[in-house]
Amino acid sequence: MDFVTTEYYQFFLPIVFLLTIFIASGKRKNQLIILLLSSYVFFWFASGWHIILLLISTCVDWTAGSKISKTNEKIIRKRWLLASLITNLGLLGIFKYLDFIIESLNLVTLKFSESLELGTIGLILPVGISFYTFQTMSYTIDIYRRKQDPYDSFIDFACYAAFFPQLVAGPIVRSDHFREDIKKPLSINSSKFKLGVTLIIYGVAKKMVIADNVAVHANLIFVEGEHLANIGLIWWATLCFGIQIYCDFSAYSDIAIGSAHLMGVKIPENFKTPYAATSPQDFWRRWHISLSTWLRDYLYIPLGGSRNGTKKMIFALMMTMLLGGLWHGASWNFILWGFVHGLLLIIHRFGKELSPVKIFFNNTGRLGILVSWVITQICIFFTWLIFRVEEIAILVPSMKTFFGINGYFDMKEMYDYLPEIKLLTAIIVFSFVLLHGISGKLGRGKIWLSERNPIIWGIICGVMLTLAFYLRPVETVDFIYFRF
Amino acid sequence: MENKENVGISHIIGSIISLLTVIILITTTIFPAMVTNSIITSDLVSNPTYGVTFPALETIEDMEDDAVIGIGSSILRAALDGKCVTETLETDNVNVFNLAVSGANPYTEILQIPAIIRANPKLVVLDMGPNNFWNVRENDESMNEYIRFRFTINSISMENSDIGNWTNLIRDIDKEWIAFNDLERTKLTQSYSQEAVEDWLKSMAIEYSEYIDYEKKYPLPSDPDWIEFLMSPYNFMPKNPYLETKSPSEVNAYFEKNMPSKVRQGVYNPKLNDTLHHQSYEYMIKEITDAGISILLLAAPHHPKVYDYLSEGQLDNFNSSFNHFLNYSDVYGLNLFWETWHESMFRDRNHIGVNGREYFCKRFAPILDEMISDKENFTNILNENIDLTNMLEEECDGNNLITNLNKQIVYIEAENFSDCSLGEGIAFQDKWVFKNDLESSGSGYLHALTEDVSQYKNEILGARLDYNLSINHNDTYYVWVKMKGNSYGNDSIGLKWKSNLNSYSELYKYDSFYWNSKGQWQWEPGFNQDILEFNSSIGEEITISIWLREDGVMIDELVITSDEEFDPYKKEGR
Repeated sequence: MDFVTTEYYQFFLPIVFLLTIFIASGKRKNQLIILLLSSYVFFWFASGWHIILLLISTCVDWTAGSKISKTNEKIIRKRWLLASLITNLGLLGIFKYLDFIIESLNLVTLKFSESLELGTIGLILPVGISFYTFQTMSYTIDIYRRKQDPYDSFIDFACYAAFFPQLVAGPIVRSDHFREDIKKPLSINSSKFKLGVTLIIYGVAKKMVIADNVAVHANLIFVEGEHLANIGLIWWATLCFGIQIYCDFSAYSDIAIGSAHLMGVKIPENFKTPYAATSPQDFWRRWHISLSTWLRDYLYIPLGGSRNGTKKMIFALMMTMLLGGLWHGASWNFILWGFVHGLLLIIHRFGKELSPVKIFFNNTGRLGILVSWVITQICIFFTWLIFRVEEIAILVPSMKTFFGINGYFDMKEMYDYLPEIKLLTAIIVFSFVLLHGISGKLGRGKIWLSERNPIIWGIICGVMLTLAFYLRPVETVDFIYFRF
Repeated sequence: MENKENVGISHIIGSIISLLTVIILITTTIFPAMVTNSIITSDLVSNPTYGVTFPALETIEDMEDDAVIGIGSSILRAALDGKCVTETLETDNVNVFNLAVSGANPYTEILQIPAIIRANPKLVVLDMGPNNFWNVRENDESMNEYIRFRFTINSISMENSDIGNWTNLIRDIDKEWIAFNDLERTKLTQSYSQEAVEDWLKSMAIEYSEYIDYEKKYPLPSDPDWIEFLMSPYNFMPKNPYLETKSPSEVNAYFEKNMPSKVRQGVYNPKLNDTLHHQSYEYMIKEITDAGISILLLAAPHHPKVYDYLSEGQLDNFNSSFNHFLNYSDVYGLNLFWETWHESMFRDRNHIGVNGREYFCKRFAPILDEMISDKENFTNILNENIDLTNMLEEECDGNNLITNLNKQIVYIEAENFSDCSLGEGIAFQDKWVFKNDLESSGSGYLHALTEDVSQYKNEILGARLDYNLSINHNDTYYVWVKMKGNSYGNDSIGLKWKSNLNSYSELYKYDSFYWNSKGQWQWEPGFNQDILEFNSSIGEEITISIWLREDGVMIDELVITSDEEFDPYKKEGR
């Protein structure tokens, strides 16, 4: 079960909503127990026995948080912090990175002897492990740093760790934020209800109409790996994937935030029109905000941040982005993706201080902004190419072609090769660019919609839902971030 | 994220009502229409007739004229040229529609019966051949797939009022593909909606890009040729001739390859009763006749070579089943299956081709006239001993003239041929057509049509002309032909002679070079060609046969002369 299955909307969400908001109305503890149990049910349907890992992470961090808060002895506090980190990173390491490490070792040792080759374990990546481990780790770290107190009740904490809207693919919610929301009995008013429903419809439409349709094009080109020297195809596929990953992930976040709203819980936004960014730094303030702030607070700053000299700053930035890349998946292309992003951030940080650059932007006004937007987006989309293509044999020629190296442009070949649904996808891409631009300019589109009168709201949401139903591809594409 | 407005419960209810209204509006109008149109007009499905049934019946229901509706498989679809029959009928104000569908079987056709009854035709022509009485097996994956496809397509375009007693016959495994209500219809429509939207976009954008390949292949209900499409779907989706164009050895090879396995299959091993198809026929016949609509059961013939592979009594169950259904009140029969039609009338094993369709039209129209005007006295046409093996000659009328060779030079107008035959095999559509022309000898000339740049070279397949001669002198005779090529190229004829004493001679070729003659008539054989000559004695009956060797060729006149030095340009003997 996930956010695009009918069971979620037909049974799960309405039942949990009724139980939490109406049946257990005013009884905070009961509400949280209902939410916790439903979250486990949700997770069981999504990931089966891997629920044990969630329980381990929850118990360890709950215990670690309690123990750390109860003592002032540095060594004990450190031990419990280490216990939390080792458990969470250990789970991640085993289930997410072990096979990757073995394969990488094999690559190295193969040069010496074939007999040194190790067999991979073949563990299935547990759904949501990257999200809930980061979430519970941040809880323990914050207590260790004395930035917050531990939760009073295990139920509250377990509910925080497993809250179903954000359990599988985020956003990575901070524990203090969640605690604020569940202080009082959970309730919603009509406005919140409408906003929640609006966000869900908005997310469903974005996922099914935009993300899933453009995915068919990106997949064909990057998986089949034909005509990789055709510049048009590579740019088109990169554009499609950039749109896919944003619409896919932000749709999940919208549905998660909307679902949480219906339960009376506010989850912070995860995206702010990232393709309106005019610099790499600006991009990371708009893209997967919950992860980028997590990385900033728990990695970049502890590694030195920007206040300890240039060398440390470069090191911290690069390490943060490399690990951020690795967080997405156990593959070299994600590490390369993180590296390029690190590079872009460093270049931007130093480049903007250069006199010619300063003079240019000081004297060009809006044109300067446009130029920086174009450069930023070309770079960002180039990194999406790296992010998408795991196969080196496809990645390298695609990267060359992206910059026109040994490439050609053949419109007919491009048109002939693209999947059957071409014009509809082109219109979807065009509409996305337009709407994203407007949204970047005006903002608050979803809230604006939720505040409309019933007729306008009904027309817009009705059209979105019917388009989601009729225009989705025959085969639904899984949410990308489920893999992470 | 929080909105400012605080809305009441009535606002929420209003929003939900508004949302549902919009959803219902769109799901019942725009997308179903788009999908249905796309199924009819384009290549969204392989054949437009799959989606045409319900829109067609709606059209027929709205028409004032009486209708005759043919339903069934591609066998009926290939046989019935509704437009031709409509035009050939003597009865006025009756339109004949061909709604038969490729691959259809009785079970797949039951869904349309309520709509047919609403359309209230004068007569329903129900396809009932030996291939309609096999057992539908639940583990037949390809058949299940076809049924799924047909039921889905029909469910998209039908209405709730089309749900009838046929639901009792639907197998459990097929119920998933039937839309019993609007919600289920919406779900089935969705399976084609994306492609339909893409098609619609292509149709809008075709003018703006050279890359977009879109062709509206078939008309929509709003188009002027929609009615003609419903009458004669073959005019809109012509199939290239197949077996008609094969040589006798290729035809034999085709049957030797296919028939031994085919005769063992259900289509040639009909069951006597109790199959799903029998039940479907029972349902259709009962429902239609109960509604006061007559039924004509039609069994079309198969290729004559098919019958060589059938064992004695192999199709007895077909005969029994056909006769069983004839016993129903207001049901009539036209069983052509046991007639022997000419090979050139078939496109393949069981589908009538162009020639066959023309013949069927001529044959069927009077029968329909009789049924419409006086059905009480109509006699079923069953297993008539009709043999069309010599149809090529029978369909071509000569004037039986015999020319006396009582002079040294005898001129014969080309149009005065004694006998003739239509083309066969690859030349099955070619014939000699008389053209009035004052510049020609006599009143005109013969033109080899249709002109599609066909060449039959040394095969005598093209339409044939015979000129019968009576010999009065023992002598050697030479044959000259006044002819010309067409299309700025050379066109040719083939010639042979035979007598009542001898069989056909070798084949001679007369070629007329257009660029030499600049479009003028020429006497052939000209330069470097052999002249047809024959020795004959008094009393012998000679036939000169001319075959269309390359279409487009024209012949005006023949000269038979015993003068070896004869020069046709000197007009000697005129």
